[in-house]
Amino acid sequence: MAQAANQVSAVGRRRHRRVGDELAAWLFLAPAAIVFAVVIVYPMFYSIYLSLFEWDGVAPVKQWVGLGNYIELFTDNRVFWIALKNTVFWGVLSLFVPTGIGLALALLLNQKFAGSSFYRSVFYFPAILSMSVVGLIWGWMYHPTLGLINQALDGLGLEALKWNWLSDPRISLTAVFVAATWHNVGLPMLLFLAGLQSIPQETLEAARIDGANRWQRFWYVTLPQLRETTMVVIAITAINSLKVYDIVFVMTYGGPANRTQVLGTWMYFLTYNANRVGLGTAIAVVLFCLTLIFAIPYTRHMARK
Amino acid sequence: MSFATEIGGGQRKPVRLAAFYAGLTLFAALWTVPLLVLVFTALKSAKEFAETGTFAVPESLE
Repeated sequence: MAQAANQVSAVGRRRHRRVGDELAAWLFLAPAAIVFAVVIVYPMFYSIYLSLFEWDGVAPVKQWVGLGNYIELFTDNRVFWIALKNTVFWGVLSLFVPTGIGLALALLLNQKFAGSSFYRSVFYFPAILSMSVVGLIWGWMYHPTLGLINQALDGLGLEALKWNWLSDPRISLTAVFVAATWHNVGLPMLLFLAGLQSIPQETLEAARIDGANRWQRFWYVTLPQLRETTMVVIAITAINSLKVYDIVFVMTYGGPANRTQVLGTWMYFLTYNANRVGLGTAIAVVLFCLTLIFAIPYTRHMARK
Repeated sequence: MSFATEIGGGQRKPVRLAAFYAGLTLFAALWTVPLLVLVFTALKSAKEFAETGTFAVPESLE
């Protein structure tokens, strides 16, 4: 009888301790959770709420339009489609160009040679600049008469290749993308370098002994072992490319004739220049949904790890 | 412990190494051109920039 009472008491104590531990965990989590809720969750839901109204951002009364803003965006807003197309173009190119250059540089700089740290720093350096600064620098370089690029083409006798880089609708978005690539190569390079240094040298050695050439060693040994790193790089690149805003704003202001608008800039112009807060936040919601396509698998993968 | 491989698979051939360094240095130099533009732009007035081009040394540092 006494033994049974002791057992019941021990179980009670354990349960009590577990509840206490859980409570302590929630209490420790609470400050961060409150900040997260106020700074992230609330504005997110408020944006969704605002996207259902016609509002100029100042008037005391908002006019309920339901899904009207979304219908207007998808059926009656030509620039939205240009911005969406440009954002997709930017995203797809971002998955291949900066990532590819970053991987190539990482492979190159992963070799043992004097000065490798110096070269790594040189190629990483643009990544520490803000996108606005990068936009200003490249804006100067693209200047039609004073810019370095057209001056260099002149000097090389390649006048035929001269463009009005930022004011010609056929080339402006690509020109901005090149500037962004210069900035965006650093992070993938760094991540791939870290990934490459975690590959056991024995596997490459074994492949070499088996007669694999350089390309085969890369394709069949190195690349499969970089799978995790590649996933992280692709997810980060895709999410960042959907958020593109500052460099376009600084370099072209969405022009010429809205041809370089991306969802981020068009959202800004609608919200703050046209005072269409509802329509602007509707774009924010569309952008949020697009981001989820990449963010959910990435977050799940990281959580599982 | 480093897992990095050596250029040329262990036996460095001087010509190959020189070509490697030349290529890498050229690419690195091109990569840093925008930074030089940033520095030169910061040191010159717009007028001087227009008259002397990007890489001319600034006439004065005021």
